[in-house]
Amino acid sequence: MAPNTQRDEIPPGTLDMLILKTLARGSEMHGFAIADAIQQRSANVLQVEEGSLYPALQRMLVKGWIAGEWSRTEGNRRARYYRLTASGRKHLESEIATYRRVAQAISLILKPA
Amino acid sequence: MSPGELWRRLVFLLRRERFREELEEEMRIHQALRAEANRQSGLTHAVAAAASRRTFGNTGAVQDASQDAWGVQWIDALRQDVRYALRTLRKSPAFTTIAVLTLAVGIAATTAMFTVVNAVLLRKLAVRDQDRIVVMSTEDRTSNISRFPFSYGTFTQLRDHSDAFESLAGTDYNGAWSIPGQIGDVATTLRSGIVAGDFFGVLGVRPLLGRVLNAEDDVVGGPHVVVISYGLWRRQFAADPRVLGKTLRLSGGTFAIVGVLPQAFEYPKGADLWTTLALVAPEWEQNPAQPSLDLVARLRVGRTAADAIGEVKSVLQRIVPDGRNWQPVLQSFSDVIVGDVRKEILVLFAATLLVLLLASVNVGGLLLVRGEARMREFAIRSALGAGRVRVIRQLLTESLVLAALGGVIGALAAAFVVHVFPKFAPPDLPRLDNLRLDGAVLAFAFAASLVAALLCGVAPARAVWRADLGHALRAGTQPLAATSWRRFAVAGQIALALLVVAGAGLLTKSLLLLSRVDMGFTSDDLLFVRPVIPPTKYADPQHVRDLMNRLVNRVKTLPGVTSASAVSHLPFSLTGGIDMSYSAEGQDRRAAAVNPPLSYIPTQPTYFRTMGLPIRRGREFSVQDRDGFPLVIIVSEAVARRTWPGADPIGKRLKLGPPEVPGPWRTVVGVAADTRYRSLLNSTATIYVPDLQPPSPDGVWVPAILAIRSPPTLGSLVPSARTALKQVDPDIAVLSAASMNDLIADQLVRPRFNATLLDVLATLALVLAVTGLYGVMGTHVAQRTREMGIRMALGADAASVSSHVILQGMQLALAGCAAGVVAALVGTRVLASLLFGVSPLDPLTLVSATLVLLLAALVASYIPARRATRVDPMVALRYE
Repeated sequence: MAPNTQRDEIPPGTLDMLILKTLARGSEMHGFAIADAIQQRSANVLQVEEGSLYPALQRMLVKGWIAGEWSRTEGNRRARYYRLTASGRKHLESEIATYRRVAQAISLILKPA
Repeated sequence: MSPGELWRRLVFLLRRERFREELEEEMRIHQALRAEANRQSGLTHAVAAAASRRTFGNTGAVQDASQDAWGVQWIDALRQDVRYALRTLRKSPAFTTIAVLTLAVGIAATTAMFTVVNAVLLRKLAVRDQDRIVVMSTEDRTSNISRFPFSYGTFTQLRDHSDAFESLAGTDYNGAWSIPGQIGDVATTLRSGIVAGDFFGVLGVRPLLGRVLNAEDDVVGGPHVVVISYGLWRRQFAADPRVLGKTLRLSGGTFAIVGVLPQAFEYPKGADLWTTLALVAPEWEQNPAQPSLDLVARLRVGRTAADAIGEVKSVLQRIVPDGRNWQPVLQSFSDVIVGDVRKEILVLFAATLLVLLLASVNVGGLLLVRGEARMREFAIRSALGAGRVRVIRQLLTESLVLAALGGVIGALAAAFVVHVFPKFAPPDLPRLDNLRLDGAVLAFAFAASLVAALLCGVAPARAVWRADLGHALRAGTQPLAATSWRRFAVAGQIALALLVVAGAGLLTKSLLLLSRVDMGFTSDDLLFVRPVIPPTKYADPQHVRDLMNRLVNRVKTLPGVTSASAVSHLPFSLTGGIDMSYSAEGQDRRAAAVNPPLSYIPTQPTYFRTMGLPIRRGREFSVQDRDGFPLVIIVSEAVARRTWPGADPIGKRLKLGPPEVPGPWRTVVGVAADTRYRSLLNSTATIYVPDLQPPSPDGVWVPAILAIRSPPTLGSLVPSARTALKQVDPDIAVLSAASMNDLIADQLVRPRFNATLLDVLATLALVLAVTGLYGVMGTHVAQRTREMGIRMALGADAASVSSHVILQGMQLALAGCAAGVVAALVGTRVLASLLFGVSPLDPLTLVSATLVLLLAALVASYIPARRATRVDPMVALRYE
């Protein structure tokens, strides 16, 4: 386990975006890899309660943003690999745009006067 | 929700187990991988696994949340509710049985009747864009002539100059004619539809085999071709696809079969084959003023029936120069095919819907009573955290389960009814071949069950919604504040039952009157025998006439036969006779125009004696009344009354056709009674013309049916008549033989069927309404046991207690009957066209129906009332 500094919960509503972005970066990933990647890329700041990944993945499967397929891991285990669909990519873009706008607005407010 | 999403959810629904297992596996792998990573960072095996479980969280919760992501939780809730409902219902089998059967009766009745509605009224006919097809005739309201045909001349005018119609063709207004025919070696009678112009093209009928007839076939001297019906193809040609090119013989010669029409095409009704007007009645085309055709037309897109009427009217005014006020009458094609039965079917269907309503309300009442006893259970459930909505959903699920069970039984019963229906249904009901249980019917059964469930579930649900569940928990029971609702419902039930009973009473009374109607002649002891005359052997009318004379003379010698005659038409047959217009001496065109349309009957001298038709004045025909002797005529009383009111008609003269058309005068020698020979419903103004005097009738009109009067031996006459005919000519077979009373009975089949069915439904309605009342009164007494006990302890005698209860019940019944009478006064009006000799407002029927209901209500109140008197005051007071 990486050295523990301060760990934060993922802000509500952003988990979907993080997963989509992670998938957008790589090609196909299974659940553990996604969780790991989010943690790694946030320099271990963002903590995913790993179980909560799965309902989110199911939700996005329903929406058709991602698609899942069973395949073999390097260690020759069976795992479900997820990939981004075209509509998922479009959704991710609009999510990011929205997030940027909101984050910018918030940072404007928080800017020391 | 996008279609893709819907699809994914659906797939999920069907493969849930698999999804669960896959998620399980996914999570297992995840944890294994995490544990592996933990081990690599130096943790021991056990600690790594525990840490991996910890960072993953609760797998059960993850499963649940993942399942919820698919948004199908309600299915689980429903399944749970259904399981609970089934368990509860199983605990009270008596209640469940009664409720399910009650609903099943209602659903079965509606579903079975809907099958008929679907087959006869809803399913499309085999024509293209059916809604744009109209069938036209004319009427003259000023002289009460309805349904007067177009002439060939008018037809061509309209066809060539019409703007409102895309295309237009004609068909013989008499419908399908029965004509002698021969297929191979078999002589038979065939019903021939006669078409003019591009009849099938206008309708857009596509042949099953070969081709249809078209405008090029309808030319005088054209090819001898016919198309045949699906029924004839199956019956006579064993559905042989090589039927095309085969021939059949009709009176007009040999015809080649060029096509087979689809089963769903039945116009004109009953036709076995279709030929062209030019082939069978060229004289109609050559004499373009002869009224002969109904027009079949396709409206141009965007044009309305009103446009068409206006256009046709102006053409008629331009080219028909008589004084009549001809009005075009347009009927939709579906009206022509099923018009007269539509109302009967809809009335019966409406009655079944009322029965379903009554059944649902009854079950609703039962559920309400049951709900009262279960208040404690509801209270506990709600105390344990089930929301009021959840409890109500549970209640609705129970009624859904009941209705579903009822629906299954009902659909099975309906399937059975559909199976046996054709055996009991009137044979002339159109489109019966279509009768089957299909998707639409099952969908209807499903919808009916759903509606029933809502109807019977809504009252208990509403009561629970309003109830004070907290109080119920403390007190154990809690009277639902629904008594007034139940009383209202029961009064409504009685009102609806009264409506159905009154309707059934009207149809039954009408049937009785119809079955006793005076035909105008002696219908007993009269037999009609229809020989099959091979057209090859008896080619021209004179041959047929000679043959018929020999046959008549032969059957006259049979034992018991008092008289015999050849007649041209069977009673009530498809066309029923020949229509003629006439003008009396001294009438100008305007006066002649309002003469009643006549039934023209070519008559042999023995006709009146054989038919038992009384001659009121003058004489009957004699053998002297033949060609070359003075032209004579016998008129029916209606003709005499209308034409020479107050004067002696004997010796007066009239001629056939309008005044301006030259024709010989005929002298009235006798007046015969009016008869219902053509239609049981109405007597028809008739003229009788000696068979052997002009107008020399053509082949179709030669009297070729034997009428035989034989008082003592009617039953055994048919075989001996058959033998007698064979003795005259071995090639003569008997096509059909029926007594006059058989033929009258045939006419009564449909009214009897309607009346019987409505009687059954009325009985159901009555039983349901009365059961409803009984239920309410029973609860009333049960709830007031204490009150009854006090009354009796204070000295009230049994009579006053029971009369109190009966009075309560009768109050409800009277309120219901009052509403029912009002409903009947309005509602039975739709029956008007189905009634014979009785007004929809017939006071006797209405009073009888009310009395029946009140009597039944009295019985339903009396039983609980007796129970009330048996209350032991001490027991009642000690109770609680």
